[in-house]
Amino acid sequence: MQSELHNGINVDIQEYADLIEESPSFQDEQYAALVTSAQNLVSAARSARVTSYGSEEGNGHMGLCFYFPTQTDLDSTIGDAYADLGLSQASPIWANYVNSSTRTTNND
Amino acid sequence: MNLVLATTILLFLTITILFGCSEDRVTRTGIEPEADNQTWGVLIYAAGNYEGDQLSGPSMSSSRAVATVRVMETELNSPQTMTQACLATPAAQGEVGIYDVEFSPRQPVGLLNSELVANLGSVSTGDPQTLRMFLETSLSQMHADHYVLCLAGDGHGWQGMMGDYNNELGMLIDKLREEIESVSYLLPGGKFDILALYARNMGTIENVYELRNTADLVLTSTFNVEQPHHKIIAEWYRDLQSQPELNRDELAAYMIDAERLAQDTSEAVFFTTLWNTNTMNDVAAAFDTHSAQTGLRPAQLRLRLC
Repeated sequence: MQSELHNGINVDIQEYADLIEESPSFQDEQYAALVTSAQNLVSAARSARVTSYGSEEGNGHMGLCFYFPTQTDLDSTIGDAYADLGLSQASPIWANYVNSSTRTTNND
Repeated sequence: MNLVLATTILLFLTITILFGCSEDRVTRTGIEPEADNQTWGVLIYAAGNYEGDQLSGPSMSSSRAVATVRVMETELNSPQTMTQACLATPAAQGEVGIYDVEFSPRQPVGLLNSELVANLGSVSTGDPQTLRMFLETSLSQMHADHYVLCLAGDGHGWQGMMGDYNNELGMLIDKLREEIESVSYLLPGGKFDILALYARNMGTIENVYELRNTADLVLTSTFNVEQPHHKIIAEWYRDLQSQPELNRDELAAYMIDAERLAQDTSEAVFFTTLWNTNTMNDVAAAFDTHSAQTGLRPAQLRLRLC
């Protein structure tokens, strides 16, 4: 499932599909909000982008993606380091997630 | 007799002109100091003391880091610009040096023909202190209207860059930010005009956001394969030498165009973007909202922008 947004910029929400289906608390109306927030994120990224150049195959991320910490990452000092990044200050939900995650080797 | 005389005079004039021009060229760019004030100061942190610092195919050097600085030696010709390089490569047995890049097309006997300004010894390019030494040493000798900082080497995303055999990951992105911001007092406007991350894996929201106060523009790529950075840098550096009066946005445009000139999109997979850091707060805020709307764990989020 891929929704075309903003002059050909696409947000690929296929990745969400299975997770949404598995979530009993996820309501249909939340889908619209998700798309809207995705549009806003793409729009913000477009505004910040001055220009790009690359190959067709390399065009999938507009030159910007973000890191996905795995549970292994979070169960280590890497998770602490990530939580300390400035992005976490501007993105509390991200910081809360990282900080509240169960860690088994937090201080190793 | 007249023919012999004329030939002798012509030969003398030819030699005088050839050697005279050569001397002028060397004197202008290699011995005399650069102009008191430069339009551009170029700083290149060539961290090549790692496994991936290899060029494929015949080139001036088998080291990507050495090749990067060598293209500057061969292209530099404007006294209105000043270039300093920090170079680390296995060929230097782990020693890290700071060079004042000078014009020199001849093949060097050692690593470079440029003057060694400082030998930092056996230090790691992934150590934030090494970067700070380079920035402080070089910026204190420059008086430019604009500055571009190029970090060329290995990249591991926010977990680190500029690593080497002694420190594989290199410096965390927040440490990198701290070191660059620590020299803000030496920069007009308190930050670099352009920061170019010539390293793989560095084109992420975290990195550009974290570095938003270090430069007006950040150039970076998302992909995890090594790019021919020495060729890319050579393209825009040549443009800068022929047009030293370029402003920030004009040079940045040449830097993106250099990607087109130096790489073959039919074979190479890459995507390089120039980011305006002044709006990265908006990106982070939108990112946060999107995370909240999904109701999913952020680690499960996948966003594909194309």
